[in-house]
Amino acid sequence: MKRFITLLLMLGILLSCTSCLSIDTARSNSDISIYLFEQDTATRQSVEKFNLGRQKGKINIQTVAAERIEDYQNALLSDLSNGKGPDIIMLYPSYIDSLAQYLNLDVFYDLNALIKDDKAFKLDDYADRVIDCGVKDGKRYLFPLAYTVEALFSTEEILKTHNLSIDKRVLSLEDMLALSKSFKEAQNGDMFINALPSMGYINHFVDPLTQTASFDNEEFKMFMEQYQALHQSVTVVAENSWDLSLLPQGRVALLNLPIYGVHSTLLPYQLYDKAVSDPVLLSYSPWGQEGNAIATPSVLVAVNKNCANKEAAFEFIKTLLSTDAQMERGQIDGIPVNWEAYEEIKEDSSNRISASTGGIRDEEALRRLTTQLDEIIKGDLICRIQDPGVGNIISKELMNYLAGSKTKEAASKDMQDRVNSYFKGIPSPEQTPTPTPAAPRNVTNLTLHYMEDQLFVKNAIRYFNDSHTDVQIKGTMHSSKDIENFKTMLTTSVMAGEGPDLLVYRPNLFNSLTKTMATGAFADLNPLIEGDPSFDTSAFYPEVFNAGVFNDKRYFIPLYYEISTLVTSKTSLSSLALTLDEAGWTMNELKDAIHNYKASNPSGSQYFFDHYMNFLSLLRSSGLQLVDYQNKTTSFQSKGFIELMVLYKEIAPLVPSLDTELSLGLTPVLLRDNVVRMIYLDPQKPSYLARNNAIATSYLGDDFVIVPFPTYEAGAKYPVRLFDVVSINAQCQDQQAAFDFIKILLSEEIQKTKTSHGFYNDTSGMPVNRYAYLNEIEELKAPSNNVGLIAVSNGVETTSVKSIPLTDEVADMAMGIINHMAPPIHLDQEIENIISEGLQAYLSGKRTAEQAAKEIDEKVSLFLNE
Amino acid sequence: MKKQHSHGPFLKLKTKEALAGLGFALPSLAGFGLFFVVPFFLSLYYCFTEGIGDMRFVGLKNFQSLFQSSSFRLALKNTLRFTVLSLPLIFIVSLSFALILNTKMKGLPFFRSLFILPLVIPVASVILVWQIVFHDKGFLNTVLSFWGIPAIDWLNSENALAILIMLYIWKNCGYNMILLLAGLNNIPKEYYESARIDGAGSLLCFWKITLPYLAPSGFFVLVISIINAFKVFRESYQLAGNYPHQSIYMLQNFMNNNFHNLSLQRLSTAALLMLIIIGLLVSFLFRIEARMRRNLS
Repeated sequence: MKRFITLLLMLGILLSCTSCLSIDTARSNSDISIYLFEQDTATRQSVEKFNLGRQKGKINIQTVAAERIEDYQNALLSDLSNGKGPDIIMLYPSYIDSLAQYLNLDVFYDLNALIKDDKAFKLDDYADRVIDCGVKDGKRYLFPLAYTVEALFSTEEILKTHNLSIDKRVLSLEDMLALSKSFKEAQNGDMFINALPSMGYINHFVDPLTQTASFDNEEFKMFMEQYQALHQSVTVVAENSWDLSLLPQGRVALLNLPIYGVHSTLLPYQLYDKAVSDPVLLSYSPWGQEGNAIATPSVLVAVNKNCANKEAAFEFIKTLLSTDAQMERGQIDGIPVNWEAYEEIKEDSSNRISASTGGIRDEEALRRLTTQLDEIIKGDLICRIQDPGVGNIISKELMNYLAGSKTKEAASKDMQDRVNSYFKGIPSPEQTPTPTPAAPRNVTNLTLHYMEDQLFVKNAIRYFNDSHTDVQIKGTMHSSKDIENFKTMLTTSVMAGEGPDLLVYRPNLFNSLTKTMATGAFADLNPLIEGDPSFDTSAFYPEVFNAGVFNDKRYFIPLYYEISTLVTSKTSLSSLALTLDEAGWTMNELKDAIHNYKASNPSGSQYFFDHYMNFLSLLRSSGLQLVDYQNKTTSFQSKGFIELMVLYKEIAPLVPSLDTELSLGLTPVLLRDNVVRMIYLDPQKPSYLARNNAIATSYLGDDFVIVPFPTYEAGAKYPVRLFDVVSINAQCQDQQAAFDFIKILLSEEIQKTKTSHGFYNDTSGMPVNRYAYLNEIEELKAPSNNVGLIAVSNGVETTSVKSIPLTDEVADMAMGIINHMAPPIHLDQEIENIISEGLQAYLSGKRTAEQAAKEIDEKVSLFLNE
Repeated sequence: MKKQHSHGPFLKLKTKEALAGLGFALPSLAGFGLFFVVPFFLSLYYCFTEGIGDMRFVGLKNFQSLFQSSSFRLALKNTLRFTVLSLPLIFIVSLSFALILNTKMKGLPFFRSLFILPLVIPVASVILVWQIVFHDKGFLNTVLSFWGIPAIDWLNSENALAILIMLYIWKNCGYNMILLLAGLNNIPKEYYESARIDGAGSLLCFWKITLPYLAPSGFFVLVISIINAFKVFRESYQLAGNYPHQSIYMLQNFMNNNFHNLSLQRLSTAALLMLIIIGLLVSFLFRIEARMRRNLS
């Protein structure tokens, strides 16, 4: 019996140990969660890196769309208040309504407890004045990952003129006041600063983390008086804050340009170097903290108290703070808190700017600017987390005082009361409104995959989901770095009878779009169009809109397209004896022009086209129909194709390589100086047209002209080239809803450059919706479009030109080309590969044009008949 | 009662052994089933259907469409032509080398290793050498240019087939030779001695003794060669890409390109046809071999 009891006891102890062990192991092995804001690519990359090769303790991401910041806040607050929520909490102060709401939930874990157990982790490796802003009562609840610093641009000349030391990095309110008065007197009432800083000054009086505020006192009233004086002596100019030329023009003494990153601070100077030769970077201090610059965290991370695997969470924070991850974040979210990453970015930015042939030539000035930036970043910083809720109250009360509707006493008292009640009035965890569970309803989800640069898809999804309750689109965004995986995933899944319900893609995504269509992978859209009387097909350019019709079935609808065009000068045209009328020009005329050009340029030191010109562009625009997909026949041995190859052999030496072109200078300059005679124009979407108009006008005056690509036959129309198209998967269960989404994609709201809510659709080509095109053209003609500067860059050299409204003449040129558009001449990706291969054999002299054409013909024939 | 004792408590010994054997074979069988049997039946299903997702039974339509395809007909013709031309050639070459090496010559192990070498060299490296030789600016054209012969783009002309056959023979004849050498060693020397006493010459010995007794190895070599001939795509693809010269566009090129375009039905139908053709050829060879065996015995 004794033995039995002893055995039982031992077994019990063993079991309890094992169970404890298993719980601990389970905890340390459990996966952790994070809610991620869509555009936080830096954190997403860190998660991917963290998860790589990890079997356990991985991070699961729940992404929230960029336009759904309210959802992010609601989900985060509601889940945290219910004791759930993500294990790692990402806070983006600029995107939240109230920091206090989060703080009052008391869900943040003290990171110091984890830091002290990790001997390898050294706080000294990070910007101490910044990272300590998340410490309250000795507990480190929030850890900043990046931050911004309030900064001002000026010039040495301005500072000297107004008796300010150029070595003083941080201006006090008194300095600002003195400068504004002096500047106003000297400039006879002209502007002083482009934007008046406010919140930074008040940092001294309120701390959202400790939830303390001291407004109702004499010190704050003194500040208000000084601030009012500054406000009265300042005229704010609402212009591009990157426009450094405002400084030497004498329009402003200071440009308010916060430091969002190393490169973004040095870049304006590089862009507008001609304007400023002696830039000075300054900062300003909050009231009562002279010499201290103002810093604000832009992204913070915290660990949830209820996290089951805090060690893994901390490991992830260390990944976020690693030099590589911080360098990545430093490009997006602000200055990284990791010193090493900051130094690396600083060196990289300086090198990049120095290496470029344009922009700054004065290395000494760049070095001075970098040193000034360094002095501010490494100098005394006061860093406070901003609470937008507090900021709103302060701004309103301050404005009441400045506008004279309240005395300083009343404004400061009200400010104190309101901020206090804001801090107190925050719902406690118990009071936090938890969303009442909605009555269950059947919601159908349609799936859609898209690339991150297809912003129009994202906007369309938002519109669709807002206007539909029973059907929602679930969009999955793919990184543009991941294009090959995206292509494989989409094509294989569609051909396997699966894949997303909707597909937005470029025709060359599929190796053979025509074969894919023939398999029945896509739904026929014609019945959906015919069954919808509200759908007005006359709103679209028919040559483009009907390009998806194969064998009487409509497998896709094009959304954007381009017509290949060239920019040249009228002088060039006349020197080449080219006269272009409305009917355009032909390949024969191009041939003659090439001969004339060669005769006038015997040394071969100049070029006819820029590096974008290639054989396939010429072929697609020629109007030659070489492939009959329906009858599976080809005509590559035709006279037209052979002549085109022969012509291209003459053209090829007159097209510079990219490297050669970059070494020659900016493309508009090359065109002006006749180094290049014709340049390939970007797709003529309205915003690009206006941009190109400004650039061409700046360099060529009214001498420039936009011409279409030559056609093979005289008087032929100009074939378009398709960009993004949309299809419905044949397996889609709710094709009507999918078609409703397509209607949104085709709407003027999504087809134009920017939605009416100000979201960029960021389309690559010209819209198929004619009204979207025409209305935007009219908007761009408005005289108000003369604000700001346009950067002209080739990636190596950068300069800027003044923005101007789109002229009638240029708009008419573009319209003239659009009015002569023809349906696209589709070539499958595989056919393009075969043509390129055959062309190379001809250009290298391995084959004659006839032999190469025969070989291409045979191979394409094989491909079509496979 | 007695019976139960004699058969063990549960199972017979033979059954036990069979189960153990099955247990050992199970992983291999599972792999074979999963990666060969299931896909085979799946592709069989594809041969008679069309569409994506909602498959429709279409009978022999895929076969009809396949034979209407000029690309398929060309690929089939080229593959058969290649097989017909290369099969006798590789057999003759392999047998010749085997006969030479079967004599008591010096350095026999070295030559055996030398002949097996092409088999162990990765195809990609082999192709690289062949490309260097047959490139339009390659070794062969450089040599020919000494005699003023203009450069020929060997791989993009009618010569491509001859090059592919040469490559095929070069690569596979070593393996065939080893098989044939083993077959030759199995022929009892006494047969030759008796024949020589009876006054038979070398040619008659070869014709009446070597060839008939080499038949089992010879047929195995032929079967392997047929299979290898149908697998010559790797070489063709690496030499000249997806769309090589028309003379070396093989059935596997056709299937690979259809896989690239994800035309699964067409790909499966072509694969099934290839299986049938190889099956017919091999069974035809086995019949001949069986007949020869009967005659010999």
